[in-house]
Amino acid sequence: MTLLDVRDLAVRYDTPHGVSQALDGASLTVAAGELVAVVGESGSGKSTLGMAVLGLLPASAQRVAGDLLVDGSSVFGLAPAELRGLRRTRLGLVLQDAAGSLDPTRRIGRQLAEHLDRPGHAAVLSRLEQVRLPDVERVARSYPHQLSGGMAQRVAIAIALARSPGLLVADEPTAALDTEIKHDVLRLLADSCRERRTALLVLTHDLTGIAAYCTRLVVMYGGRVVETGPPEEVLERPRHPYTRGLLHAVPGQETVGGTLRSIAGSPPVLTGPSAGCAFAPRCEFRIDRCGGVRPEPSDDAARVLCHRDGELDAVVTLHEAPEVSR
Amino acid sequence: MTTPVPTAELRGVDLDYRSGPPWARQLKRAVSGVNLTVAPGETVGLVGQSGSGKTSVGRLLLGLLRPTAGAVLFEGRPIDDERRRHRGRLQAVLQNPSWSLNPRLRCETSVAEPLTVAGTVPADERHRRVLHMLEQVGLDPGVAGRFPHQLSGGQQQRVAIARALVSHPALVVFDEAVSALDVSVQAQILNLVRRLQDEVGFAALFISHDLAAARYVSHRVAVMWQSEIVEVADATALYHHADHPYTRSLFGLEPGAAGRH
Repeated sequence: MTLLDVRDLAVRYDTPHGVSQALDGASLTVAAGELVAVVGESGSGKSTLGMAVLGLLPASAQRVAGDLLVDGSSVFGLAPAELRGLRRTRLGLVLQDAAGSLDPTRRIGRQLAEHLDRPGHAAVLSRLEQVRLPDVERVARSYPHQLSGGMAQRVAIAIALARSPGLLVADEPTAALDTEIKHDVLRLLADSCRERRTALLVLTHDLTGIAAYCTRLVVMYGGRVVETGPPEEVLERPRHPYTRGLLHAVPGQETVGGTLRSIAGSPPVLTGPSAGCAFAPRCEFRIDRCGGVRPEPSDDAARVLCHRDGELDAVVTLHEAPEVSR
Repeated sequence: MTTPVPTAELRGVDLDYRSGPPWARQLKRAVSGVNLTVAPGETVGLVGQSGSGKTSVGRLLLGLLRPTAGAVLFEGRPIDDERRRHRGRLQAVLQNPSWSLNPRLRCETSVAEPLTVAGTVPADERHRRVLHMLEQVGLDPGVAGRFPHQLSGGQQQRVAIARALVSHPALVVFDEAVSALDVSVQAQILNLVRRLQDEVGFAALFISHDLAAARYVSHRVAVMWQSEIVEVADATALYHHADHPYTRSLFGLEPGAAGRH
């Protein structure tokens, strides 16, 4: 069953400094129990998408076109009370700054109890154990500032999952954490969601880091979804030129003495709907059509947003950058 | 790449941070028995998790912190000797370019500042050097007249790098210089650092929590763990194996780094 259905959503921010187009026709569906990672750089629109799911867009945001359905009803059409009900029962949210999303003046145990149907000391401790926290008695008595970043993020996850929501949105849940802790937290998120049959929507910029923990990767660029698929397929056979470029740019896979191939230019700042493909100015496979005609998603499950999808493997691949002796 | 006189050297350096009131002084050891040399024209990577003491080592090398024990040498002499001589010879590139660029100064003024402080370069020469430096880091000369907020994060970091290199420093400390950048821009900056070092030839300490990135730009990589350096290895050797279990765990936990062995 489709839990989340984003249909050609376009969202624009009107600020005193000008207009910026955060989403430019993004489409995405998430089925119950799916673990989906939305990968994109700053300005790709992933956070706007995540906030839209929860009906948490700021007042300066305008829906220009499209719709976003949770459980079949549009979050844009709900009355404030209905929206709060939906968030309370069906949705959960984990943010990057876990300590900042907890109340600094109250102990962890009381904050967590607030979210439980049957609050009680034992219930609180068992929830804290479920997120693999050590010494749960002490954690329950602590204030947020007494916890490390990783522990605070585990508490935030326990709170977000307290009512076993249908969908958990996690916006850069590990960007502030160390590498080692990062993987523990991602594994915890994935495992807890799987146990509860909760769908997970992780928004992240870390393409290779998240791959092991999701069942589907969604790549965003310039406010649109440019490619989606199972992680192993996207990582091994990327089809969109942007995805290819990203994978080449991650340090760690170059050969000894080899050079990383970076993507020239920088991510776009859209002030209106993109005339053609948003990636065209940086794309080395660009043809005339790319600049002027908006690409439509390919017919298959990957929904690749590229005019030249299918032709590219035939094209001789990227030219090697000059070697730097090292 | 060994030469008689390293550009920067730490000899048996300890560093304690003090906290608490005088009658209940608490000491926390941030750096413990560290020996490290950076030869001219060499990049040394320094990796480890947060709290391992990486940034403290960087600040010691720059002479911004005094060690509790041991010696910090710059070009073979104690770094505290004739500090004025070092003006413009030691530079840093920080994680967030907005920490090193004054939001109210045009980029040209910011980039020229190390030369202005040194006071040895006349104004018209400064202008020329700034434009040349901006070109070397791959920026349009038009950037000189703009303010930092008018630039993207990647462009700002290029300006910060230009500012660090304009005075031809002997040592540059890159402290998490690419961590805040988007992946597609990060590779551009890493390639830039490598290219500039081949062209300009400064010694560098590249501090990062990302072992793969450090290995990519460095000749040698030092791994820090709980305030000690537990392993120093040739970057090329790290492509094949690592000796210390902690180094191995860094690789094992990073799919990007461990994937292609």
